[in-house]
Amino acid sequence: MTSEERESLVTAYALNDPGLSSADREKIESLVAHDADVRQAVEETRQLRRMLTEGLAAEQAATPATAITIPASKLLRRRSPLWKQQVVAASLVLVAAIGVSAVLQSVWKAEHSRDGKFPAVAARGSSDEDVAIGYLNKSLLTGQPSDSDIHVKVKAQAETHYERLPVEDLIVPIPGRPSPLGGQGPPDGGKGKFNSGEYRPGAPRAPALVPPGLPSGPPRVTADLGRPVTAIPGSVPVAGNLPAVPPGGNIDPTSPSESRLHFEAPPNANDRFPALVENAFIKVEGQNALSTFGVDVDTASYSIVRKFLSMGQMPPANAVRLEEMVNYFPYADKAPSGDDPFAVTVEMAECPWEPAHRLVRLGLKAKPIANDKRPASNLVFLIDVSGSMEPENRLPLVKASLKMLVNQLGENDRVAIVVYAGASGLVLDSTSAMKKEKILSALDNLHAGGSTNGEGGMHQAYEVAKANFIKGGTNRVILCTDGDWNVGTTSTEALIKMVEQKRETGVFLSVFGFGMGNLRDEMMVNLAGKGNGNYGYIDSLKEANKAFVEQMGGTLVTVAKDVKVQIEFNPAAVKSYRLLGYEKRILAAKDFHDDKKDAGEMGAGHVVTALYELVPTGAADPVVSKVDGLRYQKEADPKPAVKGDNSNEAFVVKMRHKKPDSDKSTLRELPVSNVTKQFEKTSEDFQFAAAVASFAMMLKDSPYKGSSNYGLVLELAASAKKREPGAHGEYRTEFIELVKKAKTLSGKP
Amino acid sequence: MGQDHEWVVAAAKRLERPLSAYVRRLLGQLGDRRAQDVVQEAFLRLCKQSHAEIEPHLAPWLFAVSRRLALDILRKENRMTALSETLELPTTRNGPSEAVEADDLSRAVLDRLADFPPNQQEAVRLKFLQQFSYREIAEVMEVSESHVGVLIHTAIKKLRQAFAEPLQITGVQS
Repeated sequence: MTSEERESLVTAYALNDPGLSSADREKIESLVAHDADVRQAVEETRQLRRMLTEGLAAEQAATPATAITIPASKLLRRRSPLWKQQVVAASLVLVAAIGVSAVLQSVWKAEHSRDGKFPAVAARGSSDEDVAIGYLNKSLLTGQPSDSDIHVKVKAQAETHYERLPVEDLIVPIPGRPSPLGGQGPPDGGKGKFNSGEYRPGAPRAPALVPPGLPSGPPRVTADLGRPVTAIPGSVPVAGNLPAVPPGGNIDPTSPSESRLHFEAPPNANDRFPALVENAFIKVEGQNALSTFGVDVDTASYSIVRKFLSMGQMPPANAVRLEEMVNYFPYADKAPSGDDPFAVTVEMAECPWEPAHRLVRLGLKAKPIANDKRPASNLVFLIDVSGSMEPENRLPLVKASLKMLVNQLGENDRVAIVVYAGASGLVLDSTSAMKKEKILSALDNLHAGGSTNGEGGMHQAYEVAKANFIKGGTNRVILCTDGDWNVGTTSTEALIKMVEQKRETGVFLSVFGFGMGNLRDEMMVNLAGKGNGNYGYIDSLKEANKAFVEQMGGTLVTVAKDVKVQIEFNPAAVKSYRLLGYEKRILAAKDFHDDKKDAGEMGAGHVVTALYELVPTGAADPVVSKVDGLRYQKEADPKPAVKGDNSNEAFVVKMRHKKPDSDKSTLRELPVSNVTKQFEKTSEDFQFAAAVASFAMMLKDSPYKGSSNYGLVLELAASAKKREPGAHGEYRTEFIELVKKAKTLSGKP
Repeated sequence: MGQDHEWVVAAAKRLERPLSAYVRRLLGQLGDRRAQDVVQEAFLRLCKQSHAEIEPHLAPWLFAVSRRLALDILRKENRMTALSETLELPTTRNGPSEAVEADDLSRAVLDRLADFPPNQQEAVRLKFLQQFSYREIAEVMEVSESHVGVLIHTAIKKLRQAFAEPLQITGVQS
């Protein structure tokens, strides 16, 4: 190796280039250890890196943005011949164009202005916020159109379809190019600008928006404008009228590996959801009579599902996590008395979607805590301010949400703010919540820009939390991100490993996901799980209010950690069982007593619901997951001798938990007798949890859904809605609306 | 609706500005509108790609495509020679406040960088501005990874020598 090559490697090493082989890395590490010159070179290079990164970023920030447009999605093209869409899309463009700018006064003019003076719709100004690639929002529509009547209609339309009609959709598909999905070209063969993807410098921009083949002339346009966009005769279904297509394409629920493939592949933006295989029925035999899992208070899946449905799409099956959906809702379980950190409720009745089976609801309610009794808290907001956080439902929503939280805080609370983008930094050192103004204005001053180095930020946030640690208080990092971490060694494993190490310091982690599109669901779930924390998805101020105001105690104060549940079923009463959801929290039976095994945390006032479907002895085996009889072992006696008083028990619930600051767990046991209620006699909580579970199985098209259908879900939810616990009556009402939406979208009963 | 394209929109949100700054620099005097056309075309091409294939190297892919498009333009304008000789820095100093905040030393480093050969500047910008790895830069510039290492190292070494004084080491002792 020449000295030049070696120096080159030292530079690559100093810049942490991932391409450096581990052999080279080791070699240089030993050089660094022994050679002061090399050390100096590394240090200088790193200083230069900082200056270059800052200097160049500032320079780039000063560059004006261009204004580009993104053509309609492939999905749209797939649904009808290209030329039809062109007509539709062209009309849409004109709708937008007229609303957008007074410059484009009529189609006729637009068609004939090929002198280049005509700015494209999207090129109205240099303000990239409302133009470049923005959505068809109000600011786009404040131009002065020549015809105020049209303007009004356009505006009304645009508002109705705000979520679904991004400007990009309105741009005409490229003429002359065969559709990538087999659609036909336009009737005239196409003379568009971007022909066959070949670049033609100097082509005028404006005509790109007005393709050939468009019936031109003002009268036609006016006529089209008068109608709702989606009602243009012969049009393809647009916007919310798209028939339900699972966003993952044709997902086969029986084949998890397949559906995973679909997920990482197209449609749904950058959202990534881990593959999820549902728990199966397990025969109550030997050690299999034990079912063990860690509790989980995450609720993100419900918000994500709601977001999809509200955008007019069925959620991907892997985004539906049954337990998170069930746990989203408040339940009326009784709070514990005395020193117990949580109380347990068990209810068993006929299973509504499989009457021969039994449904068990296990409710754990953690001790609620009044805001003024809250222990002192040391909070570190770790906020992603990278470029992808710019949209309204990301950083601006993060700021509004955290302000809500700050407004709840008092003299015993402290807040620090760490941000991360290309580099991470401390924006606000730990500050008493008495100085609310200071914290609020620090939040106000955050801006999005740059790439994302989540790892650096995470490290710094934990350092700040550690430096301000309050013994016996709440010490928590609150991470707000869209999960799009693209700089640093942000492999999921590396981050999780770091978080796992950090949790030993006694600092807990809460993860809040914002915005769809980049959401790395899997990473967030894992981070929260490993960092002794919770994970919520925040899509609106209402949701922020739930997480940061109504359930603030639960979000901030952990009352029990590593809460594990183990149920032993009595084979005399139960033939087989299935745990609904909690797939990611399943533990081995031996982990139950192992205090080193991490499990879920419960915050103050949290309710955790677990549902089991039981096949009682005497009922037929469930059809799914049939297993051949064993050749070499005799079937166990279905009714082994059970001594004395235990014989009439169906199962026993055992729970272990640790106090938040302890490493030793406490065990509790609760035997449950084999008495089954009629479904009608059950509590409303039981019925509502059953409704949500049934809904989740419908959304997943689960093989275990039995006779579930949307009608049944609605029926169950309606009967359970009568007495909603707490002051937030709207959650169950909203649920019913959501079920109706899914019913319409899916076209299923 | 908006499934694949939502992905493209997200990419555009994130990368449109860096891309156009990059392309502007490549095109130099040819102007901002050409740069905009190039970036527009790059995203149109992205629309035709498979999300799954591109996603792992989305940013380098867009930069590579944009670069090829920009070089096509330059070639057609017979300006290839110009590319290797002059690459003016756009006048950005009068931009928004962030530009002013970069400290004097950073500015001095940038001024020095402006004197380096274009391919070194380009590699340095892709490295420190886009935070690309050597491998990604190699993909964009269509050179070998080791050549990228040489380009960056050469530039860094020259900068280190130029700024040896102000870069007095404080932390590490031998």
